[in-house]
Amino acid sequence: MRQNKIIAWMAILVALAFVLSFLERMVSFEIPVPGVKLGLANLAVLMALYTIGAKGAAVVCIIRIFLDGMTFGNAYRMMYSLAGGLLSFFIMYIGKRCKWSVMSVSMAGGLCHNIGQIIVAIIILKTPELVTYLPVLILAGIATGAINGGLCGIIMKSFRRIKIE
Amino acid sequence: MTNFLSNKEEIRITKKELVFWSIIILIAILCWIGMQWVKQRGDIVVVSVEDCIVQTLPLSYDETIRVEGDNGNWVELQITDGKADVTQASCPDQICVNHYAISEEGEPIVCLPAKVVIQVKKAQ
Repeated sequence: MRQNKIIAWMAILVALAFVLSFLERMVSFEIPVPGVKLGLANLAVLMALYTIGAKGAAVVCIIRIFLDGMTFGNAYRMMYSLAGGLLSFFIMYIGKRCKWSVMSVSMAGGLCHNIGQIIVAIIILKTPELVTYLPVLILAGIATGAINGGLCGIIMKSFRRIKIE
Repeated sequence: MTNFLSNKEEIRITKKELVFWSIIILIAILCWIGMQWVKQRGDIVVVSVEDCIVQTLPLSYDETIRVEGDNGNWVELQITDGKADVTQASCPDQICVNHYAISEEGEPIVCLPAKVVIQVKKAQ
């Protein structure tokens, strides 16, 4: 029975991630530095990590990237998302294991997402000058991670009252 | 009864972590300021598609060109007032169009789907 609930919960989170990335695309506030975005979809991965653990979170993370990439993006975009997503998942997993706070885990995730993307961009385009974006992307990653972490904290607080039988 | 969320996880950020993040933010800001400092104005624009330089244009001369990139994508590059800017592109995400105009040495504008890299350099 519990297994079924976990599967259903995972599906809800994937749907949530999908809607959030769609929402983000709808209200695209144009920042002139490439790669800076809110990354709201990471919220779903973060929630998965804290509710169903690492395996479930990894599945949600990968499925959401493929769904998003195939619906809105192209192969290249998917490659960057995948690099960023996996690196951020990895660091968030480590962070959770090391018992960081939710806020810190989220911030580390945002930071590593951007770092992963820039590394892949440098490798594919063979343009090391892209490193110049790094300071801005680090700041942006921490800021967006903080926003997501705050949201996740609020959600977790109210979710603690809900008991699933 | 199972509760999906345990009560063990700490939601709020601790003081130690706050110090850690402050240090990282400080380092990033310092790097950024340092980079602004060493920047120098470039005077040519190098356009490359998939690592091959296709065109080199002077920043001093105003013009608009269309660069044919990979996968049938194209990018429109405009040079005005000593700055290079991408004004139109065929790609869906338009990241290169959103990018600010570049004029400092080493600054790139990249269009990923078209594999176009536009960079400001110094003429030898």
